[in-house]
This record gives sequence, C-alpha cells and structure tokens, in this order.
Amino acid sequence: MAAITTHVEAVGQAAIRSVSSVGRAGFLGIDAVRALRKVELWGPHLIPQLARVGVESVPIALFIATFTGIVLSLQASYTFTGAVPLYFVGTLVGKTMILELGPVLTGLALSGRVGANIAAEIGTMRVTDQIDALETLAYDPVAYLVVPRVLAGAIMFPLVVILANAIGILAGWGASLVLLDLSSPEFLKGLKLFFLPFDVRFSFIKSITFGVTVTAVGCYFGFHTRGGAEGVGHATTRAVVIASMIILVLDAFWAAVLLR
Amino acid sequence: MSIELVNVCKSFDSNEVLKGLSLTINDGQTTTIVGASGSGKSVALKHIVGLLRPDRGDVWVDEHNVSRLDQDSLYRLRRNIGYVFQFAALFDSMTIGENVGMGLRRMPELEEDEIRQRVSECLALVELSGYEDRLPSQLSGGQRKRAGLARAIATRPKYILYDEPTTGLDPVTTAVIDEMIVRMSEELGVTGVIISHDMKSAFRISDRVAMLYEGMIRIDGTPDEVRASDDPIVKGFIQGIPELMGAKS
Amino acid sequence: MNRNKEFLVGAVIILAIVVAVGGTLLLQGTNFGRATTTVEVLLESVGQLSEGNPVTYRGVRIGQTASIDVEPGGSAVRVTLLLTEEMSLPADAGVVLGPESLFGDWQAEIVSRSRFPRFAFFDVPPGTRPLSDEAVGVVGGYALPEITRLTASAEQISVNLADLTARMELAFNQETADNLARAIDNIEAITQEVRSLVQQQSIVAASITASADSALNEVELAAHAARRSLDRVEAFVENARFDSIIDNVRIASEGIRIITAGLADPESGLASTLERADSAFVRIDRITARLEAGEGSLGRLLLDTTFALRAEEVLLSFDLLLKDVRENPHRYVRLSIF
Repeated sequence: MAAITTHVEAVGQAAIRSVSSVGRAGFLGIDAVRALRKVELWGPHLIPQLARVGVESVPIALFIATFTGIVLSLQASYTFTGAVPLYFVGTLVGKTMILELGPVLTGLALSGRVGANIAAEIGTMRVTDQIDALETLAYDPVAYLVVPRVLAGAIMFPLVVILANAIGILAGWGASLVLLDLSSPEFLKGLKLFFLPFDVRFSFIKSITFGVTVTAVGCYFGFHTRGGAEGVGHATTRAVVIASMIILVLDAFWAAVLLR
Repeated sequence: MSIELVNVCKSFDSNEVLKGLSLTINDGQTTTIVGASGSGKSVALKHIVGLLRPDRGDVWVDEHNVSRLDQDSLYRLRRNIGYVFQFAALFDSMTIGENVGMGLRRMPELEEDEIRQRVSECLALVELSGYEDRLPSQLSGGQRKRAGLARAIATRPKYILYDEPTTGLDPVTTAVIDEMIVRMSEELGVTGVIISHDMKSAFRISDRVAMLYEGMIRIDGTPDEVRASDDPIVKGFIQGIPELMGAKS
Repeated sequence: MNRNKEFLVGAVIILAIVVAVGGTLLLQGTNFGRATTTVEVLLESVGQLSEGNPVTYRGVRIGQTASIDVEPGGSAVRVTLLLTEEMSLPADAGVVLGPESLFGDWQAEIVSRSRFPRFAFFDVPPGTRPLSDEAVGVVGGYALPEITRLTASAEQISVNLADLTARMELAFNQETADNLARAIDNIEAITQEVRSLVQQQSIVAASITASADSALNEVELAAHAARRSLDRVEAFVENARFDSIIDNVRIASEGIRIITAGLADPESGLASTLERADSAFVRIDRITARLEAGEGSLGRLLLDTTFALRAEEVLLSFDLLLKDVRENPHRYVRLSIF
C-alpha cells in the first residue's frame, strides 16, 4: 500500500514539476518580450551575440551541409537506379536540403554548440551570483542576457541555414558531376523542376523558430541552474536534449501547418 | 528613512527559512546580522534588495514596500543600495574597471570621463588603484572581494549590504576589509548591513548586532548588550559552545 | 576586435541574403538583364503546363512559361511565354503544349501551324491585343491529349472487339444465330457500360499526344472498315452471294491488319492494345476461312436479317463512343506519374 502511495506521489510530483517548469518558461518568455523595450541594455550586446551565434556557427553548419549534400545525391542515384531519370537527383537534393535537412541538421548541430554554450555561460553566472549582481546593479538580467541571445538566434539562424542549404546543394551538385554519371545541365534541370520560391520561405520560417528555440532553451536552463558546477553541467545537457526535441517537434509542426 | 523588515516569512519548497523575521536597521549605523550557517541570513539580506520576495510580511526601504514594487521602481530603488556578494560575483568576462563601472553606466547623467574618474576613485578607496584593466581571474580572493566592494560603492549608495565579507579570508585581509567597512560608514556616511558568523569582526565594526536563530531575531542590541546577554543560545553562539544552544532546543 | 566582429556579422548577413535572393531567382529561371521577347498564347486548356516550364522552338529550349491565367469570362486561357532571345515568330505561328517526358513535366513548343494541320489551334479573334505592351503578339495554341489516355480507351475498344469476335466465332462454330444475336446484345450493353463509366469519370484535365491522336483516328478507320464489311454481309443476305461476301470480309480484315501494323510502329505505349486488336483481327480472318469452308450454321445466321441490323446498332454506338473520345478526350484517362 505504501509502495503504491509512493508511486502515485512520484507521478504527482513529476506532473507538478513539468507544469511549473512550463510556467517558469512562460514567465521568462513574457519577461523577455517586456525587456525588448530596454534597448539600452541589450543593444550593445547584440553584435557580439550575432557574431557568436551566427558567424562562429557557419563553419560547423557548412561542414554538415557539405557531407549531407554529397550523401543525398549518392543515395538518390542509388534509389533511382533504372526506374527514374537521373536528373531527379537534382530535384531530391534541392528539395530535401532546403525543406528539411538544411534547417534541421543545422538546428540540431547548433543546439549542441550554441544552446549548450549559452546554458553553461548563464548557468555559471547564476551559480556565482553574477545574475543577482546584475539585478542589484539595476540591470534587468533578462534584457541584458536573454534578449540579445534570442534575437541573435532569430536573426542569424536563418542566414546560417540559407548558407548551409546553398553549400549542401553545391556539394550534391559536385558529387553528381564527379561520382555520378550526371551533367551540370541535367542536375540543374532537376533542381529547377519542382523548385518553388515558397521552399526558401519555408526554410526561413522554420529556421527562425529553431534559432529562437535553441537560444531560448539555453537561456532558460541557464537561468534555472542550481547547485554549482554539477548544476551547470546538468543544465547544459538538459538544454541540448530539450532543444533538440523541440526542434524535431517544431519540424513536424511546420510541415503539418505549411506543407498541406 | 531606514530599512525595516516586518514579520517576514519565506519558505523554499517545504523548508521554512524565515519564520516571522522583524528587524529595523537605523540610518547611519552599521548593523551585523549573525547566525549559524543556514540560519537564513543571506535570505534576509536578499529580501532587502528585492532579489527574493517574502511569502508573508513586508520589507520597507525608504518608505517603499520592496515586495510590492514594480520592476522599474525596484531598479530605481536599487541604485541606492550596494550589494557586496560573498564571492564578489564579478562579471568574469569584464575587466575590473568595467565591473566597477557597471552601475555607473545605468546613470545617464554621467559622462564617460566622469565614470572613469569615479571608477579609479572607488578602486583607490579599496586600495586597488591601477587594477582597472585586469580580469577578475587575475585577482586573489581578497582582491576580488575588495573589487566587489568597489563596485557596490561606485554609485554612492545610501545602503551597503555585505554578504559574509570576511569569510574565508586570512586574518590580515579580514582586518583590512573590516577597516574598509568602517571607513565606508565613517567617510561616506553609508548605512551598512553585514551578515557574518565571525563574532570578533561583528563586535569590532558594528553599531548594532542582531542574531538570527531559527528564522527569527533572537537578540538585537549594541555589541555590549549582546555580549552581556544571558540567553544560552546567544551565549553558546558567541562563545562557540554548541552544548549551550543544544540544551535549549 | 569589435570592428572585426561587426565586419564578420555584416559579411554573413549580406552573403546569406545574396545567396537566398540570387538562388531563388536562379532556380526560378529568371534572366538577368538579357534581351527577351514576350509572346502571349490563347488556348482552350493548358493540360499540365505550369509556370516555369520550358518553351522550345524546333526542339531547342528558348525560354520559359511566365504566367498562366484564365481569361476574364473564362472563354480561354492566356499563357505568357518569355523567350530569352530576341526572335521573330513564324508567319503562321502556333503553340503546341505537350509532355516533355513521361514524368509530368510539360513544355510549350512554338510551331508553324501548317506543319500540324490536324491540330485544333485556338482561333484568336481578329483584333485581339496582347495584355502586355512588350508582347510581340497573341497566337493560338493547342494542348495535346496524353498518350496513356488514348492507350486506355483504345484498349477498352479492342477488348470489346475481341469480345465481339470471340462471340461471333462461337456462334459460327456451333451455336445458333439466336445465341449470336444475344451476344451482340451483350456487346451493346458493354459498350453502353463503358460509355456511362467514362461519363462518371469525366473530371480530369489531360489529353492525347499527336501520335495517340492519329492512332485513335486509325482505330476509327478500322471501325469503318468493319462496318463496311457488315454492310456487305447485309447486301449478301439480300442477294445470297456467299462467295463475294467472303472475299469482301477477307479484304476488309486484311485492310485492318495493315492499319494495325502501321499503328504498332510509333508508340510503344500502344503495343499491348495493338496486340489485342491484332488477335481480334486474326479471329476475323479465321471466321472468313470457316465461312469459305461452309462450316457452322451460316445459312441460318445469314438468313436472320436482324443480325445485320443489330450489328449495325452496335457499330453505331461504337462510333458514338469513338466520337466522344475524340471530342472529350479529357474524360477518358488521366496520366500523371507525379
């Protein structure tokens, strides 16, 4: 009987914990929106954060995109063998890269790079009282720390994804030329065949939400870090895992909302 | 004009830390709150500056009810309060000069020259002249505490709250810090609130000593009054004899 | 340091925007400042042409489809073609829309109408002005029906033919003329069924290629030939001239076979249809041979004058079906792999 009670309590506690963390995230979100008007606090930090979230993420994003593009073109040609004209390799590389793999793989990679980085940084500031120090010096920590990071994510993510898309397609093109029996005009024909400008917009919209997710989740877990170095490690891991999960859910969400 | 805590209660999850704490801190005096580790001294201090909000009770600073202020008014009020953190809490991505200037940059009436001027004055006051361009990681623990103090006094606050200013320092540095706290009070006329469990320091530098025990103020008086107290809990704590305290509780 | 950061951030932003805008324009097939010619085309329907599909002239790609809009009032569709070269159109220019490959991508080909006299190009009313000032003119267009659509209807027809022949053969062999007459009733019913089925399905837009179009024509000719044979059977019944009708039937079926051989050649998609048709004709041949040998209840059959009349009816409805296929090819089949 006591064992059952314990289990029921555990379920109840878990429910309360998850609801309250959703609530805390909501409050952080509201605070962040309110903090947007304090331009004097976040403005000066925007450029460094743009550089950190955006520019420093370009190499890893391009690296991933290059190999994704190559693999896509090889797999497409392997799958199409005989049945479908080879120029559809171009179609598949272009569509898959722009609609799905560009944004999602970049998002997942950057949740590890950017999200973890933010969670660790803010988490350390939390456990060493630096966030309280900001408060006592009349700096709104949400405006000072969260807003520039999330804004940087929203601005730079789609740009990094666009570059990743382009590089992925170029790599797929190169692989088609070198490794497959495909000519440039054929690849381009396939690439253009079903291309819609909407695809780029879709990629863009998706990446903005991914950028906000990665940075906001990093900030959230950083802000709610407790318990010294171990707590920082824990917050970092949670930030990466949760951001990745949200990215995949959002991916399905956008597909369901915008692609029907 | 003073700081007043009225019947403040605060719990974390199921752990009741403050159970109706009431304390008045008079202007111009240095008050030390002593108590065992985990007795809620830091929690009390954080209530004064609005980092924590009481579950019940009120915190008054300069006639403002801190627990009811909106964010903007709270930030305005905090310009009158300096807070010295236990481990200094310097921003480690900034130089000492930038750290000390942080609060000043929130004051739009100050020009960049004045800020630089004020920063070097404050650093001189804590005997860290010329350390402007160092990073916190290049400083020793005592130097960091002094830099934290410089940051707290840079905005010329009326109140300075010290969270364990001498804990973990060697006796010489402790004496230096103590002397600095006295100077703040004497030269700048600030009201100081110190939390500490170092009784010797407390008696040396305070105008008043309050002891926090089980979430409430056990005794509140001048150092002499506290020293003369018959309360076994107070005696036990001052003399470091746990048996006296255990006998009561 | 900070300047450097600002530069890098700016560089990434500019680069990404250039890539996004440039890439989109490039993939849409926009021309960057090259001289262009705009041609507007009026058609009844556009088949599966969509914006961005290529425009060819004598097999060479010279531009792309810029826009497709239904005319106010819905009397026609106006397609704007953007040609990347400065070119003048042939005097009797027309535009044929058709599949570029079997994978659903279409193209618009600029042609001389005189080369395709059988295509029903849209009649552009005299004095029609192009909507855009840059357009060099408005020409009439024709969207080809699709090959598989015809293949399917031709198949249906040949199944019917085979069925008919099989029943006829059966009757000639052992059954009475009554049975044959009933069989013909069945065929009639089947044809009716096909017609109504087809009408139920009449939703989709699509069409028939040129060769398919002509194939349909040939099938029609074959039906006419068959009908001529039956006319002669009827004449024979009146005149009781067995020998000459047998000869005539043989001549007619020979003609059908020649047509079939011609049909089989250009489109492999029709092959299975033609196989069936061919076997049907072989059976006609066999019937002729048996008639010659004096087998079966021929006398009774031929004396039953209602047979010829019923056969006539069947052919008439067959004829109507073919006509309907020609007039409303859209109803019959739809091809779209993607």
